Amino acid sequence: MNDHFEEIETSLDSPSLRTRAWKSLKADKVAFTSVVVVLLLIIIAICAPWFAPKLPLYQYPDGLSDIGAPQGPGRNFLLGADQNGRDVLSRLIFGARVSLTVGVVATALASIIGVTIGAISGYMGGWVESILMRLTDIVLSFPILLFCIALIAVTGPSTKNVVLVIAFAYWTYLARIIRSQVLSLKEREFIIAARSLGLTTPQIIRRHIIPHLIPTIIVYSTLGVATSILIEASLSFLGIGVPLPQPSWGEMISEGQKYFQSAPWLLIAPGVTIIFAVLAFNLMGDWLTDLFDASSTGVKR
Amino acid sequence: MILQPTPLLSVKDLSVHFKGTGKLVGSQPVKAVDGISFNVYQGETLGIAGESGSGKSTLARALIGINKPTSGKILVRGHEIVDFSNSALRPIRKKIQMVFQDPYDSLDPLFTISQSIAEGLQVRDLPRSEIPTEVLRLLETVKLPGSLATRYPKELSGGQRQRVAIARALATNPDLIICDEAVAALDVSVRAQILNLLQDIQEQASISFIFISHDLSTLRYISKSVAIMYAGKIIEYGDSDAVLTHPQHPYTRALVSAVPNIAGNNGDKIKSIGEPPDLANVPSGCAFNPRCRESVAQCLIQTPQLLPTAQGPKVACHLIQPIESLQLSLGGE
Repeated sequence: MNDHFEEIETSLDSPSLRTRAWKSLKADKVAFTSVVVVLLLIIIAICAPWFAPKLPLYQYPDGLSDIGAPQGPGRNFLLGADQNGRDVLSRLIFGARVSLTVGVVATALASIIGVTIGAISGYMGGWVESILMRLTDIVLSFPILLFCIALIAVTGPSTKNVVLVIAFAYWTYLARIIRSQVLSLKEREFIIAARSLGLTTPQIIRRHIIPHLIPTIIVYSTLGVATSILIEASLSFLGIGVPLPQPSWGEMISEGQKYFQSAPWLLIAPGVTIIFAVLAFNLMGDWLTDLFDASSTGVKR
Repeated sequence: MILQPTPLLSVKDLSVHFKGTGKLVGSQPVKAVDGISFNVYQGETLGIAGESGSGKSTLARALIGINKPTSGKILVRGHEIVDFSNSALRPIRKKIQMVFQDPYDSLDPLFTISQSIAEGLQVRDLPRSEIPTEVLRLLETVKLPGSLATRYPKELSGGQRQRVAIARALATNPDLIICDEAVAALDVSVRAQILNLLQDIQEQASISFIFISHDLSTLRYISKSVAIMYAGKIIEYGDSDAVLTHPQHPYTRALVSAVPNIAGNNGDKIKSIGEPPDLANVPSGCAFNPRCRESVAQCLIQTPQLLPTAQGPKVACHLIQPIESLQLSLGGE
């Protein structure tokens, strides 16, 4: 009888976010796999030189057959070699670096811009909101690929430009979502109480608004990384992404399609990698949405 | 003439109108508060009653500076606070605090109890080292154990949260606390505890209260004077015993008769007819005329003024003889 007393008592307290995250990960195999894949990708990207079996840029003479065709997957080249005799697996591993760096940096930039503009326009309202939201609409109506082609034509391809273009495209989504959240937050009584205490607008935004937005920011940043990886791949595929000879997944597909019929692994390996990476980030985003959703509505009332 | 001290809060002809939401030409402004005047003296409690949509909460929000008044004056100890820019208003605004209806929503769920209360102390520029002792003192004032200081709002009951909200309001050393339906969400036993707590605080610190409620028995229990609002206007205003035991305005009479009587003496209940008026389209003349059984032709044309009556309270009704006209008619004889 008394053995259960403590158990019941602890179960009465709503569990912390960390315990609930762990519990739902153990129950949800899809979420668990996605988190593992994302963590693996991050570790592989950071420690790329240790994981890569060969050098990503070196053209191995034995990567090509006697007639000059690339070697297929085998003991020497696990995922085969490309048309220049470079190791595909090593290039994929170093490509993860490029894709993740671009994804994370671009999303971080987009989040900073989007959250600032969204929070200000939602909280201030009036003409400030009108101007900022019309600006957002204008950016949203930009044909992003054409814009990028034009920009690269002027400045030349560079990783920095890819990051800037992706951030420029993605902040608008965050700004809209954040604004709608702030609109409902600012009518809550604890915000009105803070105003009547005499707190300044920046103080209220920093202390009472932003902390409530963090779940949303985390979820949309995760999804943003997935989107960024896709945009980066598209840009590199079109030859206006990360400059050569840096390996990037999009560029590998672009090169590989020329030899698709004789060396299909050149296309399949980077294609499958992109699909799994994007899928993992998206599924992790879904899981985070559910997790934070439960914590915001699961409050005992 | 009796010399009155300067009122702590003096509201003169205050109006808060909102622009009509419709984009159509000729959409009328919503007159949520329309030409309201009253005084609150130090250590006194004013009750404000009226049904939903009568403008009570808009009035409260105007007093703490959330809704901008369209016209009229708000004077705190004789200093006007409507014309001030926002930052100049801040030190005076701190002197008026509010306790909200919903104790589940008025505390930031991400703040611990002590963080919530400390926010009011930081605004007062209290040095950081003194804040913990002051938080504990405030918790003691609202009769909460100090062990709650590190808890989050979701771990507290409704009554406890409302005490925390009161402590936060007290943290700024206010002169006036506005309680907007502050006990409406609490059950009856907790409600009585909170009302007694508020009265204790008033006696100790000589703080004034404006108590907004639709519950007349609560108002009679806690307030010295009471104002009845209808469609953004005060229609009866005076000593709470006089207004609530001998209501004169037909609307007040209907309100008072609607209070459930435990003795079962409900025979003479005045059935109210119709709905509260649309504040964007208030009836001409006396706003109550479509629902009033006693309305006469004058009620449709002329808006009645709030005038003192022989019984004491001021009433805005054409059917009630104001004291001046009585004196005039006596003088004529």
